Amino acid sequence: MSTWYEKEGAKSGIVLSTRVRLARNYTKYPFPNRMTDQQRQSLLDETAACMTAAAGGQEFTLRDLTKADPAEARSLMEQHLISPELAAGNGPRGVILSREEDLAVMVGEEDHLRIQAMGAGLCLDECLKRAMQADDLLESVGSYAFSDRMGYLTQCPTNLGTGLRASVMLHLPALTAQGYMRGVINAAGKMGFAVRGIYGEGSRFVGDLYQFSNQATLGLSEEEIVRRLEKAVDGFLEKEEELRAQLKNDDGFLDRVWRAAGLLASARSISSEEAMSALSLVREGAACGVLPNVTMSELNRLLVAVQPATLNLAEGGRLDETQRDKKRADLLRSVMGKVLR
Amino acid sequence: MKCQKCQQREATVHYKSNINGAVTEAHLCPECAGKSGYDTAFDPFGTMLSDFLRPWRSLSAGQSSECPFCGATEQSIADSGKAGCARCYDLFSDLFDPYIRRIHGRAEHTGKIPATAGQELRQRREKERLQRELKEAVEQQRYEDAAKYRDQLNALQEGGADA
Repeated sequence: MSTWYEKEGAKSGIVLSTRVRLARNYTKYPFPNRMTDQQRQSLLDETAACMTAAAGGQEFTLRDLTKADPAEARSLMEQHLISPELAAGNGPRGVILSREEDLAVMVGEEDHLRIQAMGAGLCLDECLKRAMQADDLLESVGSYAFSDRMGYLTQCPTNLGTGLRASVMLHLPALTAQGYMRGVINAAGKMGFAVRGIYGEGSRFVGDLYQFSNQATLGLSEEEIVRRLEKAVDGFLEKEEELRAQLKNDDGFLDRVWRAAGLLASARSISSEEAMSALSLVREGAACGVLPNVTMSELNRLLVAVQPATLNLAEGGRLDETQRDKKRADLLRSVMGKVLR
Repeated sequence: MKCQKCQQREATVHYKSNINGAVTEAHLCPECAGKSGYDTAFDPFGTMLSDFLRPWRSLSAGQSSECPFCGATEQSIADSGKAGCARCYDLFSDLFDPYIRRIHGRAEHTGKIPATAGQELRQRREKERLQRELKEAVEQQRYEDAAKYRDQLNALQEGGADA
């Protein structure tokens, strides 16, 4: 007999994505808070040239945000390719993206470079490896700011050392529904991990999605940081799985999942918040094998696609809120309609 | 503010006293302050006054000292909590070190070492090792070994000078 996690993989039902970022600065420029626009432009040009020349010039492209439409920047943020800070920033800045969008180098954010590697499911080692490769490549642009004792020097002292932030995005609806999250967040804090909402710092929790990341960057090696995060997350995964296993035969839960699926498959207008909470339930149900006709990757894609700016951009224009809510419902019906058939 | 005395350099030593209502103020550059004895010697109240002056002096000296590379000052760093450039961490270490200890404890970097900056680091560590070996060999009167370490050190230093 195969269980739900054997079909979907134990981690992908709960772990949406993994991300590793490295903060890097060059000695030849001041840190971003004291850079002139001219220096910012040079930094952007040099790093983009370095990356786009690599691997035959096919692999990376620059998305220059200096004069970009704010909606485009916001959409990149909703796709987790750039941070809210870079989206809202000023002056020459941008992001260098790999073709697969699994590597993004933000230029001119809080540090000269924020090298980020992303992947679906739990894949910390692969992400670390990919980020390190880009790091080696970008060192040819100039000498990195580094000290023996403090490691890589960063604009904010909180990132000194490895400059590494490893994070995993977990979908924890069962732990949330049963009131365990306060305890989980406290326990994570004691182990040295921060828990944030879906868009990182300062945002609230949407759709039962939680991002766990390391706080300390100095004193541990990159591998040690990643190992510790993996170990901590494993514990929370186990508990979520345990609770979900009990839910599978719970009539109340089945009813809620099917109602949420019904809502998404038939609504003619829906806000992003309502869509997110219904998607969260549907995703949980799908992971438990309740809704067999929809895949995790389809649902993960929807979680991003229903966000306001991404939706707006996909529709190629400026939709007002009412039009957006209608378009969102159309999109959800097109994917979720088959679930009810 | 210009120095009261020379009217040229920036005043970084500020002295103000209020003795039974008689207020005395002095705004001097470090040089004139030293000459006038405001530095440490001129001190009618003995060590009490120099103790009183010290925090004033360090604060105002910090405010006017500026990172030559990025222009950050102690004040701008204290306000933002951010370094202006890589050099700031050395230049304003008095300000950063307690802050860094509060965030990271007494931890030191054990992670990745960059290729370029790391080359120097590795060379420096090798030099330190050879110096230790050399000292030990001399102490133990192993002169042949000592000569070997000395040659290696010289070669390393020449190599370093070439680079």
